[in-house]
Amino acid sequence: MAYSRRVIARILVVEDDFHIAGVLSRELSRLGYEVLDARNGAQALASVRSQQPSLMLLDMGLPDMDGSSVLRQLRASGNALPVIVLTARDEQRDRVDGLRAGADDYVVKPFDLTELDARIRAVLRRSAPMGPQGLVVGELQLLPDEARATLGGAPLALTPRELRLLQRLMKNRDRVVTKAQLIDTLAELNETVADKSVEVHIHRIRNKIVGHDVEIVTARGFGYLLRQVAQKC
Amino acid sequence: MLKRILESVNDSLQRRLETWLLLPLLLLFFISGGVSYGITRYYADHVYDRWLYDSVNSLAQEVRLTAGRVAFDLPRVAQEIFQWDDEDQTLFRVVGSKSGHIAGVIDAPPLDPAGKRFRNTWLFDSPLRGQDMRWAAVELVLEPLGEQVTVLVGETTRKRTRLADEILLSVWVPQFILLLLVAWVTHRVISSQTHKVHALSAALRDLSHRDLRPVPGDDMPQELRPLIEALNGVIAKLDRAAVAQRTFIANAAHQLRTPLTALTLQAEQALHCESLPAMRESVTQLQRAAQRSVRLANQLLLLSRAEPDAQTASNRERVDLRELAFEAASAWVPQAISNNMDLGFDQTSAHVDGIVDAALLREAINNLLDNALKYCDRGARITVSVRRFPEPCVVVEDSGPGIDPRERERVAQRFYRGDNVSADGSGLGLAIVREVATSHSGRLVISESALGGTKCVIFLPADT
Repeated sequence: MAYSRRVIARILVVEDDFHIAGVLSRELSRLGYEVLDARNGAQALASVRSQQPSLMLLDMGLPDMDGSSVLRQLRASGNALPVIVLTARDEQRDRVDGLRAGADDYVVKPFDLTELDARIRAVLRRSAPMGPQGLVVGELQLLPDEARATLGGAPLALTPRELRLLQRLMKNRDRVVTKAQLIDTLAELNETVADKSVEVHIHRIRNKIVGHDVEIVTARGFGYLLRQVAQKC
Repeated sequence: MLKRILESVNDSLQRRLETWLLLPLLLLFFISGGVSYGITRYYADHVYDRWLYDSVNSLAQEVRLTAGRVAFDLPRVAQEIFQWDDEDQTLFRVVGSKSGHIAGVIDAPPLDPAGKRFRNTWLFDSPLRGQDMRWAAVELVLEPLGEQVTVLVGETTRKRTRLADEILLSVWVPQFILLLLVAWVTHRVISSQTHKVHALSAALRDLSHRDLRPVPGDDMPQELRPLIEALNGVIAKLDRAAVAQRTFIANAAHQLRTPLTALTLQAEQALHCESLPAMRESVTQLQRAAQRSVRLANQLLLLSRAEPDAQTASNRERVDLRELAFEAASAWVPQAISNNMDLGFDQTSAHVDGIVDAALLREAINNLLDNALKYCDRGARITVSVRRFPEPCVVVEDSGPGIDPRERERVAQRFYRGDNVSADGSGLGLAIVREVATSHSGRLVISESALGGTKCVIFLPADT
């Protein structure tokens, strides 16, 4: 995956299994994250206070306390630190317990690094305030605060509606955004939106970004999906 | 007290039955004894009273008026004959209102007018000299003298009592024997019947999860049959589940060992690699084998969760099947796009409510889409839809190579993989889909799609 490595996050790995913790630390470091280690719940909570990580990977089965009690203590202290729970139990109830205790996402063991990386990015994207560079997908960059976008460094002329739609699609890159969600996005501009107009706007955006490494794909019956493609020749 | 006894009796069916059978019988025994004694006494009294009546009247005939005075002349021999009795003592007295004591025992009691009246005779009980006696009395009026003569005959009551006792005994003894017999038979019958209940308990106790035989119910009482049938129903269900579980574990062990063996061998091979590129190659294979094991383990767990016996109502919730299918399928869109496939959702899909285990149904749809994406070629068209008629169903169809009609039945069997299948798979995907459908009282139907490939339909019963 050709993700840009501009976002460097500090991740606290709370895992008592020596091997898993070791591999996670090495591999996450290789992927560009700064990694902190904790072997138990007490260490984890101390580390959260002293090191201020931007995300915590929390194993549910810890030697001193249950993962969900670590989470509850964390949330009770008013800390909104994003947490991804690692669990070997995949019963739905266990997942619900984790989420109810305040987790942002969960990953079931065994998992692979690609999946974990994607989840970490998704959670960070949802929780972190947008960086100064705004949203970036390939050559496409969108700065919501300044209400402008650039494509391959050159300004991209977009109507306010097109800007809103593109922002929504970029925020959910590689994921389907339904037509209903796009209509809602436009409705935020306090305008009545005709069903067809979404299609028209998407068509126009497509025409504006054609020939670059970003494309908007129509998912038949689902909606639209923005993704980065290998450079078109 | 009686209440406490009866309560203590309530804990055993045998003691309960015996108590409630024998207690009334015992009561009946005493009542019948009392009644017999009364009847016996009545007839004995009647017979002996008649004899007393005869005696007193024959004595009265001996009272004569001789020479202006009352005379009672009974020869000595006649008196002895009259009084002779080997058991009872018979006494008499003749007394006049003016003459006073005429004959017999002087201390005989006076006539008791409260006694029983039989014809001209009074009959009454009055003890004499410490003995219970029955008396008969007749009053004669001798007109010329203006004198009233009373003739009394008394007899001890030994014969009567003995007769009554004998009759009572002759009634009571056989009855008592009968009572004992009834008690014994009752005890035996109840014991033999409760023994069957004990045998049933023993048969149930001997059951183990490895040996679940039905409980024999042939010579059981009819009342117990429904219980035994119900028990056997449960046992049969448990047996099926146990057999299914054993088969599952055996299959799972076999299926897990294969990728794990590959894993071990490849790790070994990687260790022996001399050059870095060769090692990289081995480790890549190793990673693939590990991923296969992971997927297999997940699928096996899912399969065991989808089994009907693993289902609990608590996981069921009312969901819009269209929304569920839409969400599940939309997660596959990115992969379909990178595979250059056209994965779509039919916009005309119906909104159908179903009470389902949403997590399981989502996994079933995931498996169908996983298969479609795996077995279809680039450019293939895959469509997901939800229909309400004729039955609520979720449809996944594709324009891929399709499944040979002869194989359609077998592909949903566990661990079955098609002959010409090249893609990586555990052979559990469709089995899971089928189990999920069955656990919702629905079914999986595989047919040919109008798109040219496979059409998989998960039918769910209406209002599930």
